[in-house]
Amino acid sequence: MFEVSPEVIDGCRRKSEESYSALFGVLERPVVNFLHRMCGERNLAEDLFQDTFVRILKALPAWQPRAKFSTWVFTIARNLALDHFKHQRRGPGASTDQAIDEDGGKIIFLSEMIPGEGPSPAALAERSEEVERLRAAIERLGVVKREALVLRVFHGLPYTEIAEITGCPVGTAKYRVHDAVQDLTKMLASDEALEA
Amino acid sequence: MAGCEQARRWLPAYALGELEEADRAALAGHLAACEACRREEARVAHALSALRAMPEVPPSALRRERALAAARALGPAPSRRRWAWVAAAATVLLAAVLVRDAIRRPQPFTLSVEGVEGVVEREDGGRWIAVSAGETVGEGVQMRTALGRATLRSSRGDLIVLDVDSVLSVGATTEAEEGVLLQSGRLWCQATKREGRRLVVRTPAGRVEVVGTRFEVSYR
Repeated sequence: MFEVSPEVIDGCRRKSEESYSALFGVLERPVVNFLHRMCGERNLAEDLFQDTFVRILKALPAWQPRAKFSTWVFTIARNLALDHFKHQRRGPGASTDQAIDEDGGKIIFLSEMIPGEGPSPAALAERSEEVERLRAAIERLGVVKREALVLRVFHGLPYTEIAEITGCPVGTAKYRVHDAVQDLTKMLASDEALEA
Repeated sequence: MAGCEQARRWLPAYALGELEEADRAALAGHLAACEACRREEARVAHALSALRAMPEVPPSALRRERALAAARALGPAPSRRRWAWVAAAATVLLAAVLVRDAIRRPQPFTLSVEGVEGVVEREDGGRWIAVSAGETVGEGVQMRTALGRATLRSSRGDLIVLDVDSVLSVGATTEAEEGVLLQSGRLWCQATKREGRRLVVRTPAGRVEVVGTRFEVSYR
């Protein structure tokens, strides 16, 4: 969880660069890590974080503090991650390798002319075997359980907020987290049994 | 406590510290008496502690720069009305001077290095030497990142971030086009609005002509 002062929010509404920088400082760590745990790939998480940051700045003038700021931010980041997963399912023509025209013009899809990218050597080097096994297990949980688990275990959000972000009843959010912990325990135990 | 089945259902909440005191005491009593459930409790606790120990993505100056550049592209801060006419007139005058100069003396397309993360190198007479912030790279000179990344600003104001494990050179400038050649890897670009020459990113597989203000190209 994180808090942003009303002064920083007002400053961002006035397009003050100093306030943009202050907001970035508050959001970077929690949101990049949330997205990284949601999608498992650092470059993609960074791209989605940037989209989240811009989306927040665009929406701030109309934002009303009905919910907590952190709930609103996580909801935006989560929705962008889900949009990405939906695009992935539509096939290679909708990969992230695309030129994006923010002014509403033409979109060039590069995936047809450029071979797809794999993880960079740096990304591969940074993944230890154990972390990789955990990431794979988290990925196998599926999006619904994964997002609930990440918000609860890594970000310490209360179930009321998780429910608000993921659009489900509080009891369902709790059930998903507990189920995710049990699934993860089984997966890790089974991986270890295979190795032994 | 109804038995092992209920104990197993409660274990995640127990490990997360969410059980009410009475339920917690009941489960603790069961665990003291049941070895199989104790083993399962240890597995759940191990999974959660492994999760919590997962490394975080560290802060990045490059990420900050990219995000703030994108924020700046949303538009300038509103100015006070009494200065608006002066600023507008000055902008028009400056633009006229810049356009006149640009027409008279077309500037070559170069890249200046604004920031370096890790090691970034450029070719220099067949050798590779480290690049540092403030350097300018002209047509035909190759730059490469291995585990590093570079933030570059073109002579036309475009922001280019060269990702890890990438090779880039400044392409030939013609009357119609200017830009870069991405030989391998990935770049992210925030292009400025421009008159005259179009910005083009080439790869060995083809060319990308910029239609928007922000885009990404990768080639491996």
